[in-house]
Amino acid sequence: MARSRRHGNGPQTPARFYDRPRRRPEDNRPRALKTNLGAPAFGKSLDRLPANVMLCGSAGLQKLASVFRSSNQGGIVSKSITNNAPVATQYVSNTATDIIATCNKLIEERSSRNFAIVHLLGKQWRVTDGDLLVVEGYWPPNIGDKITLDKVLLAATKDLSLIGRPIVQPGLVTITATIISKGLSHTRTHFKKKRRKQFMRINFQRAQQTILRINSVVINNKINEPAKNVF
Amino acid sequence: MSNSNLFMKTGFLRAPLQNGVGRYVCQLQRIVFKFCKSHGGSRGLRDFIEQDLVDFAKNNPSIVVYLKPRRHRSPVIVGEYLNGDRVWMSVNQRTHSEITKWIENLRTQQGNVSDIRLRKYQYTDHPSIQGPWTPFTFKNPELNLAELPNVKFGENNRLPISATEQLRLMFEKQKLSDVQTAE
Repeated sequence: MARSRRHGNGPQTPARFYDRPRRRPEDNRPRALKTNLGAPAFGKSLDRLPANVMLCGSAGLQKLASVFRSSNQGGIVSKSITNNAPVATQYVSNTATDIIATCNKLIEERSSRNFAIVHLLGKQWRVTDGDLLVVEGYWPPNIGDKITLDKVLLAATKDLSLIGRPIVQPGLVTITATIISKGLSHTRTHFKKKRRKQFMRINFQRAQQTILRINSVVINNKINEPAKNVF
Repeated sequence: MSNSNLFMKTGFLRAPLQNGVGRYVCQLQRIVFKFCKSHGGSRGLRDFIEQDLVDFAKNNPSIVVYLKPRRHRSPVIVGEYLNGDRVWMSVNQRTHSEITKWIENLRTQQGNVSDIRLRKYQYTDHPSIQGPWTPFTFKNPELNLAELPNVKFGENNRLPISATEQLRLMFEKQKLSDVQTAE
């Protein structure tokens, strides 16, 4: 029976940027809940989990999903022949709540260092407390400014990861940074020459470089609490 | 960009004295304007001194400003930084607005940052928090106790259906349909 339900859910693929707007409303729940804290569980009853947050931590589910996908191709007959039938996983509804409780506890204890992946001027950076970043190109913040980086694609501690789809819900994670330097890069030389064609160009350019210090990466709310829209 | 600047110093991203952790300190310590009172090449710098210098000094109490008039020499700005760097910049024939921008650049940078080619654009004390991935990461620990060879862990469930198997399937299907048609 478990297998037929899984078929109804469709193939379980990791979330991507572009597939978010295309989701149907009934699909507005996390597709997978995975953790390295316990056995893999399926997120059918996780209606209260914020829609854009997916807990992650295990590759086991992916493997299971691939088993089911391959069973789609071969059909049931093939499975009975090749004796490849997947192990029946029993559905435990309170595993999910246990995992969420454990994650909340971990977040509250701050037992390990947090890190996050932020989107900043078209680039993605993995940041943790005390990091230094160099942002190239024109960027208005000036030295001494304290800013918060809001486009958080992923936030994680040692034992759990919150994966945004595409970004973690606003207000869940706060990343503060200080601008410590704004200068110019070294002179970059662009030299072009075509042999035997009397063609030679040389250009020099210096890019604006802003150095950021990441002050803190903090996971604020408890993960299963309803979203507080801060913006 | 590596070999084209053979004689350029390279370095890694650093900030002096944990700047930005807890407090931020402007790294420009001292700025010296050297200029001529009569020559045209110093015109822009003289304009800056007449119009903006007092505001500049007022807005940046941590920066010591020196004026050094000298006869018939081209204008120069020298910035000195808390990490010991010294940036010398000729501003001969520069206009007032250009000089304003260059001074802003000297003020905001944390040293002679243009001097080195950065090898990395990020610096972290903690390169890995969740640890490196291994094939056994996030796997069910029951594998540790299983006796191998084991049917459950040894099964081949990664590869697609093989041609032989496909033929066999087709054959079985045909047999089924043959039986149905016979009935």
